[in-house]
Amino acid sequence: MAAKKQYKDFESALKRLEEITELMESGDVSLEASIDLYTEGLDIAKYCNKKLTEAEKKIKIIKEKGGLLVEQEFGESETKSETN
Amino acid sequence: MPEQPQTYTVSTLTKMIKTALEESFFDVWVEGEISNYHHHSSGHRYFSLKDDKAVLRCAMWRPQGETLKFTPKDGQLVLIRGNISVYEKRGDYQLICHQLVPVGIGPLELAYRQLFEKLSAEGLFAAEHKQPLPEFASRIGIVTSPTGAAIRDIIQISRRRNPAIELVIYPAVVQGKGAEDSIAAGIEYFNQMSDVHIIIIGRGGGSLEDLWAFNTEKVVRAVLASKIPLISAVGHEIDITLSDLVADMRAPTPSAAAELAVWSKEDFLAQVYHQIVRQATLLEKQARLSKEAILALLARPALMRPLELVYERQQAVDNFLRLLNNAGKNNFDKYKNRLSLNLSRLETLSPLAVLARGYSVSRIWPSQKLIKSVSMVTTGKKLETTFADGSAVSTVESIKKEKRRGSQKAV
Repeated sequence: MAAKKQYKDFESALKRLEEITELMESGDVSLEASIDLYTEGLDIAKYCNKKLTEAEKKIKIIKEKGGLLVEQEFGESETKSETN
Repeated sequence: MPEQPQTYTVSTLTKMIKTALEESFFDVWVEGEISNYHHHSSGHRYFSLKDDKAVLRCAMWRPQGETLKFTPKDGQLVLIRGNISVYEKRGDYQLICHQLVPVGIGPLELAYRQLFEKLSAEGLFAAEHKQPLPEFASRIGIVTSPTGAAIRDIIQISRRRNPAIELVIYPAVVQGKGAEDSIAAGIEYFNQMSDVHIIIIGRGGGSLEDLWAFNTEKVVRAVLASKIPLISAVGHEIDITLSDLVADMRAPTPSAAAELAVWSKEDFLAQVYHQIVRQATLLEKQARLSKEAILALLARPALMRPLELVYERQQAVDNFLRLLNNAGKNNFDKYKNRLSLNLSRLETLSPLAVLARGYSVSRIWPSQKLIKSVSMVTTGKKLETTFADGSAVSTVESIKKEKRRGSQKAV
């Protein structure tokens, strides 16, 4: 089976997927190689899906603390006091 | 003795003139053309106001001068509100200006035009200053009021499109005193201290006065200096600020800025699944061709290939079928509905699924030879028929030949 690869970002993951499709479309790969490629493709799809669904990133706000600017968690209720 | 005429000292008379003039003209409006305008290093501004018959000396002290949005220039027709003041030491009088507005054009409009012309002359609106936005930004910096409508809209759109994107807010003053410094400081902060991939600056709608900070040279230059691609989103669709013009991208509203900056999780996954489905289709086709080739070999006993080779290929096909089934069992969480639709499409590509749709495969019993044509069977022959969930052996009762070619369905 294909070696598990780590994709540093979504951009390269999608790029690799497109590459796999092109390889399979070329007709130059054996059935065994195609199966490996397809397995790799499924792994990438699962990786992307997992990364995108499990992570809900916090919203941060820059605040001054002891003369330094630091990131703190931002409560969305903080936005509700006025409009402009 | 004739009475001595009343004599004043210069000081006394001047004092009286001063009192008379200053009391009579303590709040006047006067319109005229500026000439000899001079902005002194002390911060005070000195100039004359004239028409075709007269000249009036004017001064504007630093505190009032600093509230000017535009730059007064010789030849400009202006309306001034002020008071007459007599300078005793020199025996002259001048108009002390409290307010100075251009005639025939709003002061902000004039200031906007002046700065626009200045920046155009420097070539700062040229397209070559624009940087492309990254397609997959994962951290976005936002310079705006933490309590405004803009941040609420941006958060809402961003959460909807992709909750995996991190938002960092630099709380800025976006209107009134200190706004331009605050916005510029936010842009500089993200450029120096933080690793965001895109910066959004902006605020919700308001009057030209409310949006003014985004038309100031300070903010415009900070936008231009940003190494990080920047989206300017100020006010509504119709409001175009100078920051909008120099930014790498202008968004008509803060919501639109979020749409531009935050890539859609759903669109991305749709692309991923498109690729996977395409790959599955290609693989299925390749597997089917291989299987046909194997069956063709088996059908030609004269060609005795080592059986292992055949088994190997069969195993490859079996692995593929197992893969397709595994794919169907993957749990893709929230996208389950849509995904299971896609994945069940993958499964329908599998030869097993053909059986599940009600088709069956028949072989000669007990030789297991696949029946591809009615000519392979005779009345009384026994057949083994494989269904999706089992098999049955039956006897041929009658045979009916059809002219139709290509039909491989055995009865």
